[in-house]
Amino acid sequence: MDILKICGAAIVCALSSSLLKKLGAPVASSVAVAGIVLLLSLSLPKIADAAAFVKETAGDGFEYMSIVLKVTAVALISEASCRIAEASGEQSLSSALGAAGKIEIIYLALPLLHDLFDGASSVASLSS
Amino acid sequence: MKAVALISAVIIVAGASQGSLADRYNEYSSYDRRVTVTEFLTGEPDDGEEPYLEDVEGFFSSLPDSLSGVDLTSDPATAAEKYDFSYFSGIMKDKVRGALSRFVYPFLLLTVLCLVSFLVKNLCASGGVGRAAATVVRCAAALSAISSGVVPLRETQSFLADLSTVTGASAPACAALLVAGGRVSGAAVNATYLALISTLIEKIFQGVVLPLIASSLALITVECAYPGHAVKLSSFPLTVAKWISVVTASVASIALGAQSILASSADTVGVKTLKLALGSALPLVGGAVGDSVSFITAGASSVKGAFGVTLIVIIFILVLTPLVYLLLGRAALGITDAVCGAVGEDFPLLKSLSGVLGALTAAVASACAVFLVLAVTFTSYGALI
Repeated sequence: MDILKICGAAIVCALSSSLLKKLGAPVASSVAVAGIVLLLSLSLPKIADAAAFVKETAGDGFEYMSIVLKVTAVALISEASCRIAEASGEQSLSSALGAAGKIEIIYLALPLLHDLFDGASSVASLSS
Repeated sequence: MKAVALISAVIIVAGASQGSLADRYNEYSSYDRRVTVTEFLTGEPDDGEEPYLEDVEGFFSSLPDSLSGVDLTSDPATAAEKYDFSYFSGIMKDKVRGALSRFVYPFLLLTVLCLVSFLVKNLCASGGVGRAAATVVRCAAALSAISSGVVPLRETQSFLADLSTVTGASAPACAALLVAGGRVSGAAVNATYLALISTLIEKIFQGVVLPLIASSLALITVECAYPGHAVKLSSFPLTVAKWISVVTASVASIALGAQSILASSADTVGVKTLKLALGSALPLVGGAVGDSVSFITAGASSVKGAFGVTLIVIIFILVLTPLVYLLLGRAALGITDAVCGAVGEDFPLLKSLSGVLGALTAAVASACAVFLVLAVTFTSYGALI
């Protein structure tokens, strides 16, 4: 079971990082970062499978599903990057990454938002 | 006095000729004609088309396209056999099957998008990135709801247009059948209320209620992009639309019921007075003339009854399409809400869409109820004497 590997790796990373921090070793944050990357890489196939399932469920009938999946991917990648930056003690970098992620999400969602307002106005004028 | 005598004479002759025709053809049980002018003058059967049967045929030829494949009849002899339980259950089965096949994909998509929104928000719990992504996914869910027909606005619009067409098409036939049955006041009330219903559908339901519901749906769609800001704005038009629908249907139905009862009483009193006068004025043949008048009105009533039942069947078929969509839609939204609630997430979008379907149901049911009351009142007018 993958969850056993993931939990085992997480516990090992957490204990190692904590021990190294107490010993004052400078590599403590690097161990934490490595742990985050390892966990995400283990979860990545599952996320890909879930995305494939969602795309298959939507089929060709919903053209915005690719935008939804891209936005989801950007959110997850931005979040992971923010966590890594925080673990490295780089709070300002984490904030900047978060802002970049939001900008990217808004940029990707622009066609969807355009069509949303277009659809809303066409619905509003449906009976007039 | 001369005028009264002349009118009485005309009625006596007309009644006698109709009575003799009816006696000649012995068609009491399936009498579906009234005496034409030629028959009235000659006393011989006229092979030309009967006026009210022409109106009935005109009604069937001007029905909307949505009723083109439906098997309908206004023949009193076959109507009872045709409109049995299997007829209605067959129509209902077709409608439900069609609605179910249409509903599976949009609601599955809506459920998936709601769950993706929940996952994104919870996986990215630390900052605003997750909230932004969840908002975009919610917008996609709203867009899927309005583009894939979760809310059957167009079906409701078509239903109201079809109902308006049927209302307009049925007016001449209803009036002709009522007059043929001696219901002159009833025909006047019926014609007035058919015009009223047509106006109500066009001005109130199509002109006010549907735009209110559509504007509410537009606000619900937009509020997904601005969560929490437009909630009260979107619910207000729905409340107004529901109230307008219910009040309009109630007032029109009450007024129609009252007017029909009064008209029926007036017609009954008028014809009974005439029959009494005929019987008294003509000691030898007065009773026979009265019986022939009874026969003719009863024959016209039998056609009118079958036509009224056909009107009710048409309303049933017309209303079934939007109603099945709306009820199944509400059920599907309830299931989607329950699935999302099971993972601990509350989606206002689902509740708002359910509210829109509720308002549409109220509009459809109200528009249908007024016409149904009219059709039932029309059908329930019995023979006068």
